[in-house]
Amino acid sequence: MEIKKPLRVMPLLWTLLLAMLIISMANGAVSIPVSRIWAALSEVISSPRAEWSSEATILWRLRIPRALLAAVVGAGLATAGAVLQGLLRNGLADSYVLGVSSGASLGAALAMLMGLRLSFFGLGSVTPAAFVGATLTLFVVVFIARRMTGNSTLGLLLAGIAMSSFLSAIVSLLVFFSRERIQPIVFWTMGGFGARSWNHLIAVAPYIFVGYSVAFLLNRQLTAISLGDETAHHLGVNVPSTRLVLLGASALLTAAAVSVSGVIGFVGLMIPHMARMVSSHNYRRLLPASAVLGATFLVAADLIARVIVKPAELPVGIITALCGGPFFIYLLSKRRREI
Amino acid sequence: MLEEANMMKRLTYLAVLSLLAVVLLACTPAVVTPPPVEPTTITVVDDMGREITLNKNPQRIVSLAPSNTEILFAIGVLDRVVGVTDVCLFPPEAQEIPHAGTFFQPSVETIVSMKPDVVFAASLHREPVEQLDALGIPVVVLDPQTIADILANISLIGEAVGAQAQAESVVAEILSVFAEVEAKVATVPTEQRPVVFWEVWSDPIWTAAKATFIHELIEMAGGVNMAGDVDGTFVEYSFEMLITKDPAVIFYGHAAETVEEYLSRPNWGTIAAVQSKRVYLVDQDIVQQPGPRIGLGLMELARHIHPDLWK
Repeated sequence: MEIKKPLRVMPLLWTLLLAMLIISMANGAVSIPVSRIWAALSEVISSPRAEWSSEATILWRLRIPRALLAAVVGAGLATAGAVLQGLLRNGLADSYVLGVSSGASLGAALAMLMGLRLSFFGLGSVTPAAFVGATLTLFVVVFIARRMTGNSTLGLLLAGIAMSSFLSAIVSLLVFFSRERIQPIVFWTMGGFGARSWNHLIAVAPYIFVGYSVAFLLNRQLTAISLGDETAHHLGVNVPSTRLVLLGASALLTAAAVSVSGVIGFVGLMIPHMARMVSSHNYRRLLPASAVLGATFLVAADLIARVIVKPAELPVGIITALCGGPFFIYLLSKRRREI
Repeated sequence: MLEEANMMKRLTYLAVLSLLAVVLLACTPAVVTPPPVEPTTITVVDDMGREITLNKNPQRIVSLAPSNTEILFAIGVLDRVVGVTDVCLFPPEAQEIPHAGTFFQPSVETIVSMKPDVVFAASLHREPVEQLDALGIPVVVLDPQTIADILANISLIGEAVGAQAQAESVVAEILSVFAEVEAKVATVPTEQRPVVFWEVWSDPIWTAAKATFIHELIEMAGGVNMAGDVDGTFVEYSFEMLITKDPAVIFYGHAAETVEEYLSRPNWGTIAAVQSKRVYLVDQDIVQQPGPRIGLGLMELARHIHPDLWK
């Protein structure tokens, strides 16, 4: 397997992410010139909270946690997509397309409805509930695709789309009957990072870290499976159990993302393809590249969502779907060659 | 002689000592009771039942709803308002004030940059209120559902910004309009009270049901609210039911049509109000907004519902 080419790509991708984070910090309903960001941040360190300028408060309490959360969620969704595409050997696989996000949102909505507020401690139970929903959905969709449609690309997609519509209808029903006790419909269909804080970041970052670490530790096996079960078997990979663990990891990544930011589509579909272009098909390179690119993409999408109609905001899922829809169709049109 | 000198010496000592004592006594600070310390903060309870502590006489006020802005104007503190929303159109001066986001999506970043002493929000602003709470910015949430709530809100805002007297006189003024209308309407027997349809929107038909202050205004003005038997606030209403109830007076405020266009709606010709041309386009900001102009709103409805009483 070739490992030479992409060595110098990662520093570039990290620089891109850092630049995007800084741009994101400088822009929003209130513009803060890049030159003043440093001054505001040193104020955060040096003076008590009551004496902060409004710029320091906006940066530290509102904008930075939000941008970092977008980065973490973007990394998680892109990793989940990369893992699913490799495991299922299907370039159109993604937690949104396969209905895993909808499954996670049903779990999260149920947990919220059971009187668990979306606070720091509440989140503690929302993410596990979302994980249960995501895992069940993923296994049902994969089962339907394998047993009933002979594991065809189209069968997998159709099973995913059907599950996705079905589950999001149930979520809509819950929202309708909840009388504003859970997030509004648009959160569950288009997602967003409005009103997100450090608590949300602290609550989900560990899950994303675990999910990513599991995938990365199994990168060799994942690369082997992406080349075919036979090949993987001959390379000494225990295919069924590896597949199980990796499906679980992608469900965990999706669940963590959905429980703080709702359903944001197409990140996991698009980003791994871009990552393959700049890095490699080898998952040891592909996973970090996907994660950092996904983070950069979602920070940028959130920035656009915040500034395009400022001081109001768009749901970030509108931006990702505007990019992802055409990309999906482009992949479909190339299907014979690539998928 | 020696005795005398000694005596003199003692006397001098005594004199010096007593002088010293007097001086010392004079220098001792007098014990006075200190004036009672004026509290610098005030605590109010908002419509969500939350206790909010804020500085007395807040000088930087942000309003996130047009009705809040109107109240602040009516009690004479609009000059302290540093942020409003895109739909705060009255008074016209309010349109000059910078926007703290939109009514439906206030921008927390913008509000923070305005450094407010107090924010007056509405019940729909759940997420921004949570964020402002976390940032330690005092937010008073108002949720007026009834006329009593509107009057209470005027007093509450007056209390919060240190303009109680002005607020009470605004309330008194509204109450005197209510009394005037009620005195006239009291003479109208129940069977002479027309069925009134308040059209919030035409397609689909939306109207104000029992749990709205518009229902209260219609009844106070001597009408019978067509949807007064429906529970809820603003509800969709079937056209079949509307034809059955046959309202004698129709009000609408959405201004999507002129009165002429309204009167020539297909299928509406059989309705009593359309036949007698008692369809009125009213300023919805006066009637539909839970602000200090509801006295005017009541007067407008009353004059149209019973024109003969006001000749």
